[in-house]
Amino acid sequence: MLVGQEEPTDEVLARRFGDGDAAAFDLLVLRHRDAVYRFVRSRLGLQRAEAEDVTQDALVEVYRSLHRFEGRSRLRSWILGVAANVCRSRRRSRSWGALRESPDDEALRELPDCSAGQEEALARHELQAAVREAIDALGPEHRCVVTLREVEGLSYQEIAEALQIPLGTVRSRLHNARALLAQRLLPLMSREGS
Amino acid sequence: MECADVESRLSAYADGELEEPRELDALELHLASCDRCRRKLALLRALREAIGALPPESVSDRFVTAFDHRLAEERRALARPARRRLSGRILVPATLAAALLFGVWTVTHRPPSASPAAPAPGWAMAPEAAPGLDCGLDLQPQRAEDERPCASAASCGPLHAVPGALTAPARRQPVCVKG
Repeated sequence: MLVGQEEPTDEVLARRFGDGDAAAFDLLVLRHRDAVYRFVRSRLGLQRAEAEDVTQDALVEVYRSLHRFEGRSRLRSWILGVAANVCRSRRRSRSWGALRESPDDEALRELPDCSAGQEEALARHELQAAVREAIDALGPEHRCVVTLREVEGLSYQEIAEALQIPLGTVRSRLHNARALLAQRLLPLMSREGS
Repeated sequence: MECADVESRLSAYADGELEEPRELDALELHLASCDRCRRKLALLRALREAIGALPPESVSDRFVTAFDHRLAEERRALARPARRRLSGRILVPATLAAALLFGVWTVTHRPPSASPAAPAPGWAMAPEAAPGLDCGLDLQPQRAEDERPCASAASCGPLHAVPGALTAPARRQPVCVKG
């Protein structure tokens, strides 16, 4: 990328893709694949391998239907909306029962970095693990809005568009999800704060 | 505004999603005087901070490789039906048009029957022919009254005008069109 040259927006890339520029889609994938993966994980509560498979399905679906993107919303929330639809059909599928809410041992593999202050690092890791665990323990609807808001930084309107739910529902789900998280994490956070 | 009203709006307030000015004013007025609600807001902000501090999860290298292959397959798969659709769009009408032309040509160029009837009135459809290949007659569409039996029909052969070919092929009568 040349100095001073602005990166094309998602919407510009979508237009280029519509004009036959295959590389534009590769760039979009690079930008959004992690967000789609996190969304799929939070929505379906799957282990990494399964979540990545669904992420592939979602991105292929984006590839097939990107020409229908009309630019009425941000492309990011549109892509997550496509992923939400793929998650919905995955939930309806026969194999869903065998996959859902599987225990994940990934957190166990993420060991804390103990180089700078072992105690502090352990405490931070403990808090992070507890936060992740508390989020994972939420129901899929609550987990999903928390991820879209806190991790992906989507506005309430964008969340409503992605999940195809009313704005008021986004607001109440977030409120309830945070109340549940606070309940679980309050003891740990009070200890951290002190 | 009471504590319960504030509590139900605190989450949206912390996110900067409360936009109604009167609602905002009332909430901030309450916060200024309510220690309990202020503590809840502080807790909410700490919670957001803790979630925000989580290292973001990313797809694995396995995903990157697998998706590259999958996308390449998808591109090939989408290209194939497109070619089929394209060829279908061109070939089917082209075949039909060719069949129609052949049919017209066959009907209009059938050798004269043994007992020719009078030409049907109306427009005579003259086949397209290269000038100079027939008996020198003009083969443009003409009215039936301009038609007369062709003395040299045998020599004109299939390039000659055949009136009423499309409407009454059984009563074809070779004619020369007045030039």
